[in-house]
Amino acid sequence: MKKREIALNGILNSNPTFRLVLGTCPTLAVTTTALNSLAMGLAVTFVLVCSNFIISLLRKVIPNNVRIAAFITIIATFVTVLQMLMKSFLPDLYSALGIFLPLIVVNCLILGRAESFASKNCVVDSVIDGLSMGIGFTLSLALIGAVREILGCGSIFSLSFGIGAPMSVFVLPAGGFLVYGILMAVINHITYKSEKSRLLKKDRTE
Amino acid sequence: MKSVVKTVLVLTLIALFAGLALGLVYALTAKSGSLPDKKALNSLVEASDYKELKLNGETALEFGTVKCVCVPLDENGKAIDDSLIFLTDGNSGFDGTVGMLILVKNGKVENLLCYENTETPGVGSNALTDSYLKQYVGLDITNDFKLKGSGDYWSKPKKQSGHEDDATEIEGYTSATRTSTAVVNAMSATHTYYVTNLNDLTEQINNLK
Repeated sequence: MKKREIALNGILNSNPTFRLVLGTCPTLAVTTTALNSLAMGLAVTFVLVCSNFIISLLRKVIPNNVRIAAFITIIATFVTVLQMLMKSFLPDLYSALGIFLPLIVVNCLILGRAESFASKNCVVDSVIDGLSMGIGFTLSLALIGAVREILGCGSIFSLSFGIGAPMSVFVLPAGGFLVYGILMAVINHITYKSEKSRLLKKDRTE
Repeated sequence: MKSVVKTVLVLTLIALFAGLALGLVYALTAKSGSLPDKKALNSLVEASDYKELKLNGETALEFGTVKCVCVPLDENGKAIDDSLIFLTDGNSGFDGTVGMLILVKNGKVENLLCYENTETPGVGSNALTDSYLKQYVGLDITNDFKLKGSGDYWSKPKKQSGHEDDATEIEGYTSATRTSTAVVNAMSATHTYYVTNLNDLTEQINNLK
């Protein structure tokens, strides 16, 4: 797979949130505000890149029968490092993300990429994949968080518009499902259309 | 056999390096001392900065643990007045200890707030609200504290025994007796520490003036 293809894969075609539907739990729980979503996305990106790098580096050393245990240990180390750094330097964000920060350890996106990509590909490709998946995840979460914050709180990044009454249902779990479902439908529709037109164009040229 | 040894070796090495990395990051990020967040201290009493005092004598007391004593400072780094801020963990909460920040000035409780707790939200936390805690404001810290009716209280007689007979009686919060007890215990531990170390605390404040 070409590097450009890997880089675009996580953001568009294999977007972890809207296309692969991975990491749904933090997606729904943390996206009450755009800032929290962005922070969660960046936290996952950090862990993804670091764990992909180490796992890819050790892929020929880690025995196959204990690979999951080894992956979890590596991922948990980076999550704990992140937790300690956030607790020390960004305490407000640390408390806002709450339990979902340590739960990154069992985020199926990170474990999934470790198992399906980093353990089979070279270090450079694995880091690009981690970065691309992380950016895709961050953008998706920021989009959901921004929509929920605008509709539910009448603000964006805590800057209030001061117009109209906010619909607080969008900040609640029900609103999370609603926004997630609608955005997924819209994005899948656009992707399907563009894929169809691309194939038609390819057919005509042939 | 060879594969088993390799498996054990690889997992051990991964765990070892993980431990080393965590230890290193912990050493870099661990807070020096136990001074509470400036935000929490500011909501108790506004000051430019806060100076942690040296803890002398016994800090793990019968009803709680005095974790930190600090003094509010002005722009020049001098102690504003005789105010002391105690961070004390009160024992016997419903889910562990309850950390209280207590502002004491000239032997009187000036202000207090809950700094950290794991009490049940909506139940135990009712005994940690400003409206409940304000009953402590103005009370004499040189007197011990006890929950009203303690001693003959049917469900928690042991937890409340040991307070001084002339202790100031505090109203408990119905349905949050354990949390009310933890707050009383934090106050009681603060009282014991204050009375025992008053001379040393006064000397340390005077050095900062």
